[in-house]
Amino acid sequence: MSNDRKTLLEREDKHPQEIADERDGRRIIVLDSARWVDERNTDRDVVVPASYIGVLPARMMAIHRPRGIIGHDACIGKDGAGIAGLWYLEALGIPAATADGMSAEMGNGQDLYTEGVISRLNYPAERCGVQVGMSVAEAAKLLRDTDTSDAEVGNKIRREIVEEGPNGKRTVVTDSIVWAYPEDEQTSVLVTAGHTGRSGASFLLEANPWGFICHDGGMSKNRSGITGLQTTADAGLPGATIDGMSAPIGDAFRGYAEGTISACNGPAEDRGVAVGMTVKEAAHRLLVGGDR
Amino acid sequence: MSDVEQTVVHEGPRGKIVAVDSAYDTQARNRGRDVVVNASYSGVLPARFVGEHMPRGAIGVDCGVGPEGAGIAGLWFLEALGVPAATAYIETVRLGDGVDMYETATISFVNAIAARCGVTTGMSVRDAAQALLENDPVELSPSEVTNRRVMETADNGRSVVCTDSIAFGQPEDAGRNVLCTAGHTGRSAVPYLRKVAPWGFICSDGGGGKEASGTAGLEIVEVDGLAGASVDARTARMGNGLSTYEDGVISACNRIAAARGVRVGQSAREAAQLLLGDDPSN
Repeated sequence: MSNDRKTLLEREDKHPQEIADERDGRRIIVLDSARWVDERNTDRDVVVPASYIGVLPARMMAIHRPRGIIGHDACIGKDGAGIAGLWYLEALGIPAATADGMSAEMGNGQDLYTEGVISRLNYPAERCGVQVGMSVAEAAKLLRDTDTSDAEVGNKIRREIVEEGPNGKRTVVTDSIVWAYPEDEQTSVLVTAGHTGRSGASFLLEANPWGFICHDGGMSKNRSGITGLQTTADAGLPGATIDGMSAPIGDAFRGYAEGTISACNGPAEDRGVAVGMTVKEAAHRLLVGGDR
Repeated sequence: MSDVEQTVVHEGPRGKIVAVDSAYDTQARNRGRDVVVNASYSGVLPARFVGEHMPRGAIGVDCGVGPEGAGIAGLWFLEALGVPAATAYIETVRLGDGVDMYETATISFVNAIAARCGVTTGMSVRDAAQALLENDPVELSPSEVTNRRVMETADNGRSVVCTDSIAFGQPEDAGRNVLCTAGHTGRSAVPYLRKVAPWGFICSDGGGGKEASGTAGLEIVEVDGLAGASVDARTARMGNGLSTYEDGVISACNRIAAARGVRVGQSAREAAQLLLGDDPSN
């Protein structure tokens, strides 16, 4: 290819990298741009570029397979484009996180490294111990020093008991209804994050929990995202849905912490659940309401 | 949950198109052959289950995209695995009904690999599934995915060109074209802006950032005579130059762009047209 048909990226030969920290041959590399990640970083370095972590920069970095990546969330933006690269990198098993857009300057790697605060992360990074609210410097050291066994596709079962009620009943948060256990039958209020459409309803009837809160899937055509509420009402199973604009689908923990109720069925109303209520409050009423 | 139902809606020499009610119904027998049309949302979680079986292609539902793009985030997960994937508009889908989705729904978002199979936004799910079944994706390296497209050419020979990053600028852009790109306009963009030296540019504001660092480059390049503006990252998708042009609303501009008539609040499309013009002093 002649030089005048090459893009600027292809013609660029300087990739400024600054070594911020080094231990056992593994380094933390600070850069102003994701484009400067290259083969020097393969397998050994955690790179900290002050770029957004969209799919485009993720592609450019992933071909060099750095050990870990911490970038900038660009305040997340339209359709999550500022953090979409986290999911691309997760599929490749590369731990990655972003700093809050207002905690660090864009294009300033040093500021990101010294001032940045983690806002979002993918599952491999979570397994390395990175958490929201942690400093970027601390998270980078964790990614450098922690070895994760390769994450298998489909193995991320998150499940936590968040409230205990009377008679051994409890509220359990888990990302999908398909992860219900036999022990949840008539015992747990399950707060999950898939939609409540036709296919979700069959799982709900099979799990037969004490109550449930799922996601409304943005409601969708013919309000099909919540048709499961009627199916379950017919079976006497109380349930409600999380408003699709209040919490992301697929993350039950954020649904429980941030969500509001968009719809509920008759048996749930009988326990005191109402539209507009916080998910946390609705889960509590589902838990205790039936035993009044 | 053991009786997985897959409805074969089309069968050809390269494989089948199967419609399923849930992403969890993707199976090992679909690997490398079948296009799976599933009426689940297209988040990372269902994508993990689809990815486990590596079908030839996958089409799910966008569920209204939702906060932080959670309804479509699985597209990027599957792209990394090499699986072409797309989503259907929620308004056209009955959630949990795969056959209805195959027959009536419309494509809303595609990942880069599906695009290379010929799938486009607005296509019917039926046609998109056919394209995924029949077409092998064109192989491209990351630096070849530039999505460069000429949007309009003025009488003076200058063009508005969309491309996903200022780093994809080409020598022919210097002093001639208005580039609509989709990285931020912070200080690290400045060397690229100077080297490409387009007649005008519109980048993203990167969500603003601390101390307005996402638009810091606008003022810096005034000494180089470059006219530039930024779009609000809440209005246009970063990494997508076409979205900058089609969806973007201007959140900041430098003085040279302002002299050509660019204003905060304008659509990027209008601002790009204004940037095609001459500087008033000339």
